[in-house]
Amino acid sequence: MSKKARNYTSDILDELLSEITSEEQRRTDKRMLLAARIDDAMKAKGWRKGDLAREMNKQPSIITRWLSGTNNFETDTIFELEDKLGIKLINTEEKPREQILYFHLNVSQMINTEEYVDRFNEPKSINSYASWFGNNYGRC
Amino acid sequence: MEQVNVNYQLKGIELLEINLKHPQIQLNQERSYNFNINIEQRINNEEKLVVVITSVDLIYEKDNQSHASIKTSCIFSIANFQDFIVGNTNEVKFPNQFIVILNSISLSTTRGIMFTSFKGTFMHNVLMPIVDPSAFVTQ
Amino acid sequence: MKFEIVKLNKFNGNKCGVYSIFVDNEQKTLFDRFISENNISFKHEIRNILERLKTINSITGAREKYFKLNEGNPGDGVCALFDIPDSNLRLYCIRFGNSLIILGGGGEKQKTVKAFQEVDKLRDENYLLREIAAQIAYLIKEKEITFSDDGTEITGELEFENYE
Repeated sequence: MSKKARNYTSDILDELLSEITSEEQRRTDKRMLLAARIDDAMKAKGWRKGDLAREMNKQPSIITRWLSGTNNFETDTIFELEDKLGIKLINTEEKPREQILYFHLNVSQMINTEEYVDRFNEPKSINSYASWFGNNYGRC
Repeated sequence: MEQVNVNYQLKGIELLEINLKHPQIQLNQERSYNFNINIEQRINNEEKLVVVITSVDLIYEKDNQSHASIKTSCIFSIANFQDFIVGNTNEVKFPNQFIVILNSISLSTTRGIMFTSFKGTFMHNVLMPIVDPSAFVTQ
Repeated sequence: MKFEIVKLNKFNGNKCGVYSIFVDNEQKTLFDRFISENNISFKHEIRNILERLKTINSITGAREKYFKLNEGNPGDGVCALFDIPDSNLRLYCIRFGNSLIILGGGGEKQKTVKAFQEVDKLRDENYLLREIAAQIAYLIKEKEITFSDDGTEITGELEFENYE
């Protein structure tokens, strides 16, 4: 039997957490996620901090800061990272929404279904071109 | 009226859905159907295509039940697509006549596919009537 | 000293469990103390720390790069939530992979010549956490403390003493 940890919360923690607006949280989330994407892209290329530092012509300590999730990037840095790491970080192309036109019509019609039979032995029907050939074959 | 040139081609036809449901009651050989026709023209700026999706629902008039339905797509590519883009926006405006022609071609194609698909069934020889393609109501 | 590991249930995401510690008969956890000690002077930084903990808890997990590792003894997991050079505060934690962190205390970093007590504060918090980490490591070895399959929960002898 494994004893779980006691659940605990404090007033001060509650109060401070509730003061965080969703916009602020979202911004922090995005910064952290961006850092994670850069980290993952580096791993995919087998690059360590030193390698990226060399590519970007920066000190390794700057790379550490970029990966920490606390950095507010300049867009030029983002663009260069996109190039060096071969990933897309920001969407700069506007994707057009698909234009759709809708049309509608109702029409009534009396129809005549037939059983699917051998055409050549049936009496001629005006609706069937194939049946014209029957007895007229050979006449010119 | 100004002559406008649209360079277009049929690139593909697809049968998307086909449905047959015999109502399990006696049906006369001669009976009346309401053809409920819907057409969607989807414009794809990136690929310079117009995809026309035609849906036809065949409703038995006696009891309003759907006995069959079909959905097809006709894919048209437009060579001079750029000529119809409005100014600086992403909106595309084709001449009305052209829109009507696309509907007409798609309807006829659907008519053909319907004929082939219903062969040998209780809907054999049920033909989609000729309709005036400009009679469609836009939504 | 007596310790109790508790779960901070306000962090209710599923990517990383967030815990803290009661020491002896204190009414506040180490993390509570850290917050109340610094909330007046460094409200903005405290808020940023809380936001990052929320992201870690519900979206990303406790990824290595979000921390300054090796702030304790070799391999004990004691680290600090990354603080940029310009910031004032440092928060120490014990990190168990990406799925579980135990928040300790912290304080103001030494930036200029400070009063003797303030410089020591950070060092004391760090050493306290090293002791706790060592005790936890021992209990893990003795199988008195275990982790859930996904690593986000810690279970077992979560109330323990440090024998001097």
